[in-house]
Amino acid sequence: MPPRPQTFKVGRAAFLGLSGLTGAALLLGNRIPNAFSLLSGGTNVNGFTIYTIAGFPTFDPATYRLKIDGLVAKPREYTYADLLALPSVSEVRYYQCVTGWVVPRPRWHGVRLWDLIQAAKPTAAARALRFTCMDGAYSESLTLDQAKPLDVLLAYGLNGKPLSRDQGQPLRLVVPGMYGYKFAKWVNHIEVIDRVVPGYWEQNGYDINAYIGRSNGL
Amino acid sequence: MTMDAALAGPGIAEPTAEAVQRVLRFNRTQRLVHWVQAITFLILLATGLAIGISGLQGIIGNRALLRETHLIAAFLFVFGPSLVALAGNRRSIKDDASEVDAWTPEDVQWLAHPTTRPETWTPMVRRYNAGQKLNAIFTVYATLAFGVTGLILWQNRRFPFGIVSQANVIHTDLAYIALAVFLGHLYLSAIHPTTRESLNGMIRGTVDRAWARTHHPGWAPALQEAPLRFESVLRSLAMLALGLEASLLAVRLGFEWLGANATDPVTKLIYRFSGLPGTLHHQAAGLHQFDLAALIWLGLLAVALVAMTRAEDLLPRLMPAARN
Ligand code: HEM
Repeated sequence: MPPRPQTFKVGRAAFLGLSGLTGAALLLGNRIPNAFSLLSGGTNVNGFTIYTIAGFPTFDPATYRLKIDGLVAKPREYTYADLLALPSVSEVRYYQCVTGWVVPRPRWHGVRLWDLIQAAKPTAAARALRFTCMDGAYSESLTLDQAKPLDVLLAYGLNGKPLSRDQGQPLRLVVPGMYGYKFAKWVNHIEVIDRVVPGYWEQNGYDINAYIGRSNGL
Repeated sequence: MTMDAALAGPGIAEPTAEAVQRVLRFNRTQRLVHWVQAITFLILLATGLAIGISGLQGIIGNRALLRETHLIAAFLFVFGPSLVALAGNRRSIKDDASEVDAWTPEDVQWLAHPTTRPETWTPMVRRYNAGQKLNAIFTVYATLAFGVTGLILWQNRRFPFGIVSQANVIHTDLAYIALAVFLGHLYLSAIHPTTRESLNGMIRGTVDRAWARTHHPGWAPALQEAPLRFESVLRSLAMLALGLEASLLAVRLGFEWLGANATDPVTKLIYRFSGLPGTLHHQAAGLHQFDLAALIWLGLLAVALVAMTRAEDLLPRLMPAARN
């Protein structure tokens, strides 16, 4: 075997260099080009990354019903057509997912949640709402106070079009100011209850009061 | 090349019948380190892309399950190879590391003219050529970078949003880069006709002697794999158990430092299996405490591991009869 030629510690230098660059990119924020993420970004829908926990349920306008019951004087059931016939509201609000992506200006179209709740006449014991969904898995919760603001919607449209199946067709909870996991998709049942029951993601460790910048460790 | 020339390879002593044709390239430890990381990588790639690519959600469609699978595979991806190395033939892994670290001007020449037909132009490639070295360096770097950005994505509630957002970008970019590197690696090791012999080295452990002479003329292969003996099996199991417990505890201490939430199923799993006496009660209590018991256990485990490796080196010297 020939004598060992002079060697240079290139391996560790390359490793440290790459790690240092990555660390800098991590700390210096969104200042590096994001070309590769465009690959996955290219598969987004309206700027949203699509997540689901139990597939995508199929919506049939003929059989769909939104039920509102629980601690109410007048339980209600709405068909899809009923919902479309109610006064329509639009809201444009910044959308942020806890996993690190944002949609700056989505425009939601729908009905005010509080209008529907009031129509059902909650009893004195009512404190919270529990939302369950057509996929049988997703659920969410709000206190009554969190449900009151005028920009909290049950949305059936996004950016001028009906919601797509991926994004919650026919009806999606929209709670501006809260993280995206609160925006339950495929909502078909709202139960008025006397205390908050943690929803699906909240059972998986996320905060119940999901205000952006004031929850989830921030 | 004639068989005679091949037999005259560097450092090769009197060959057995099998060794006439084949030389040992990767021992059991090296192969296991490789496959543990290869398999967990593929799981991470598949589950990661299913999380990140919107169109795939409809097909796989259980985000929480994908995430948990991703996290469990991630634990094995990060700690598995080191644990195997610790329990197995550490020497060979250390040697690999110094081979990959040390570059000669010939490596740079090789990079300037990379070739899969080394018989046409051959710098004195030793155990690994420059391409293989780069692949190894990238792998170690990527394990760390995936691990750190993945930890931030996992515990996203504990970090400022700007960092989480950036970790997401880096993690995703890195996944596409790693996919490209992986495809290149797959092509050269399993498909390209002049280089795919190397796959034998990673599966059976041996490669064709003449091939080794052409592709790695400066490499003196080991003669044979160290035999598996009863006491070495016991030692390996003990090292594996201690190392596993130590890494679970280390992750868990990290959690408590981050104030991780034990309602996350993977966190629960880690808590269950890192539960040494005195460290369990925090599962019920809020977790924002520094677990002294866990820290002491971690120290003890580390001492035990170091003591075991030292004893192995010292024993044969104290008792020459115990050698081989
Ligand atoms: C080494 C340890 C790793 C850890 C701790 C880790 C952890 C994570 C976590 C926590 C997420 C976020 C999941 C969620 O949003 O619910 C994630 C996403 C992802 N991971 Fe990993 N991961 C690791 C390695 C890898 C590797 C090796 C690959 C691919 C080669 C990979 C590819 C991805 C992709 C593509 C995503 C989706 C990113 C997106 O949202 O677009 N990960 N990972």
